[in-house]
Amino acid sequence: MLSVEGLEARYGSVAAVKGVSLEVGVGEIVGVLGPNGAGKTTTLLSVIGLVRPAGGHVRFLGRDITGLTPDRVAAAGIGLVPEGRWILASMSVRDNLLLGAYLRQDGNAAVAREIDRVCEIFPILRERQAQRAGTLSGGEQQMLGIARALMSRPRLLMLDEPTWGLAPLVVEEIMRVIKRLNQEGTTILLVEQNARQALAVVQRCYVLAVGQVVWSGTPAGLAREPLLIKAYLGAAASRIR
Amino acid sequence: MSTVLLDGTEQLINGLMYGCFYALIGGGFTLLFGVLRRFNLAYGSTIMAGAYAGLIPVYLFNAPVLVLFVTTIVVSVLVGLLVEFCCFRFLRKGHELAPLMTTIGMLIVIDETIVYLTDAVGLKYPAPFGDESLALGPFLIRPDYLAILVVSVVSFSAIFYLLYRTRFGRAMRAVAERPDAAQILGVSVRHVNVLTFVLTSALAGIIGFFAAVSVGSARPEMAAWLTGKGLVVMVLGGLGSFPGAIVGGLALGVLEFEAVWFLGSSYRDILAFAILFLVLIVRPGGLLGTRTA
Ligand SMILES: Nc1ncnc2c1ncn2[C@@H]1O[C@H](COP(=O)(O)OP(=O)(O)O)[C@@H](O)[C@H]1O
Ligand SMILES: [Mg+2]
Repeated sequence: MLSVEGLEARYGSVAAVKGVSLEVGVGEIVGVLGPNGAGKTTTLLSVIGLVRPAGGHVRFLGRDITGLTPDRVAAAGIGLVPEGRWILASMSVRDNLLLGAYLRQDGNAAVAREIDRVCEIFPILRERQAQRAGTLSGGEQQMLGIARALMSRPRLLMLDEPTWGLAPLVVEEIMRVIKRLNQEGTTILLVEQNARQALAVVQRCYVLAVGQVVWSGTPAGLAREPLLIKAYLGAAASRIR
Repeated sequence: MSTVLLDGTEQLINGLMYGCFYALIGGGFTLLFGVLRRFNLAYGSTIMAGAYAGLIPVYLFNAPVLVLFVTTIVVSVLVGLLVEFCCFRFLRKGHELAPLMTTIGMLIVIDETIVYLTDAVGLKYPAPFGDESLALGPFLIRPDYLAILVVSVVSFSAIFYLLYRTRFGRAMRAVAERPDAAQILGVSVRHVNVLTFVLTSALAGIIGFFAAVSVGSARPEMAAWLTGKGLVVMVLGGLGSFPGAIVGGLALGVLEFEAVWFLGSSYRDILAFAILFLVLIVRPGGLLGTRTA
């Protein structure tokens, strides 16, 4: 479904991504792990088109989408829940959700049903609809970020550290939702530093370090690589079985 | 009622009506700045170009004022699109100051073209609202100011409706707040920018028409005067705050009219800048500004 080949991206003279290749198949849930500064976020931003790749290709559903502007990549069916959420703080929760449906052409009734659906996934959002999004708690904002991305019914949902900085109970809820979305048919690319959480839900994963893929395989396979875990995934991951 | 109070109130009414005019100018500058996060210093020239162009069908065919009004708006929109294309479209991200240069360049081109074509002589404008003051109880009201009031209320209602009740308005607000967030949701920043230019330039046409009508002529000094007032109102209201621009415009109108009455007309134009300095010192975020400028 998504195929990234030899992707390179730089900020000025700093190379952030140096030839990353990865694949996500239809219906899969794939993880991207790796330490801070590995180039995970830059990879996602290059796919969505906010960072212009300096080299390589991005293909989605058989189409070359390299270098397209983000609105066109979104229209092609890729949703992004960015690192830091990018909530429109001054607007209402409902307006945020409606913006998530900006690309939909199927009428107000369908959009209203979609709002209903995402509010079933995150019930707290239903009662918060009229509230300014900036007044939500961190966990609620993360839920809004995911709900907003779901409003367009993306074929592929990319999430960038969706559990960062959240309380353990909220982390659990969000991971549950991600798993459920995948079971219901959404293809997912999950970027996480929290390797333990991610490995519990993903089918396959890539480990990124200093802008390159240093390992890829299944969670079970990763568990047999103690040196890799120690080097790149830190103490939190050392309890991976 | 004493004469001072009576006159003061009359000036207050006139000031509020004329303040609507300032609010329109400030509103145009503010909408552009709010969405693009860049200054368009050619906005005053866009207004002036429309005002002059409106006279063409009048001089050529003796066209009625409605044709003049529509021409003003159409030409302003065309000039606005030209400004967008020449001064904004091809600038790279992150060069916030570059449009200052490109739009000043455009301002000079437009101004000099008009000066060249008209020998810098002001062109007489029709007075569609007559020039007899209307009596409103004990107060005398200028009819063109009353027209400005009506048109402003209509324009602002339309803009508020657009911003807060439509899909495109929501996209505009999103681009103003976080362009990257708007983009990943499918909003094309380029479309929003162009449509923002269309909207604010249509507003420029309306402003140009009333600016020339209230003065009685289209004059080359208009651009500098409109730019000055527009920037003052924009900063008064808080950069990028549309409601702030309305409050700022009304405040400037009232203060100017009261100052003319109590201090004499020679103080009128310096007052705007005196107020600007005061506000920048006391409330640097503007009257309604929440974010720091
Ligand atoms: N906006 C930016 N400007 C300059 N350098 C950046 C920027 N964003 C990220 N980088 C650099 O690019 C590299 C990769 O960053 P990033 O993609 O954010 O990694 P990760 O998401 O894996 O933590 C880092 O070295 C980081 O310092
Ligand atoms: Mg990151």
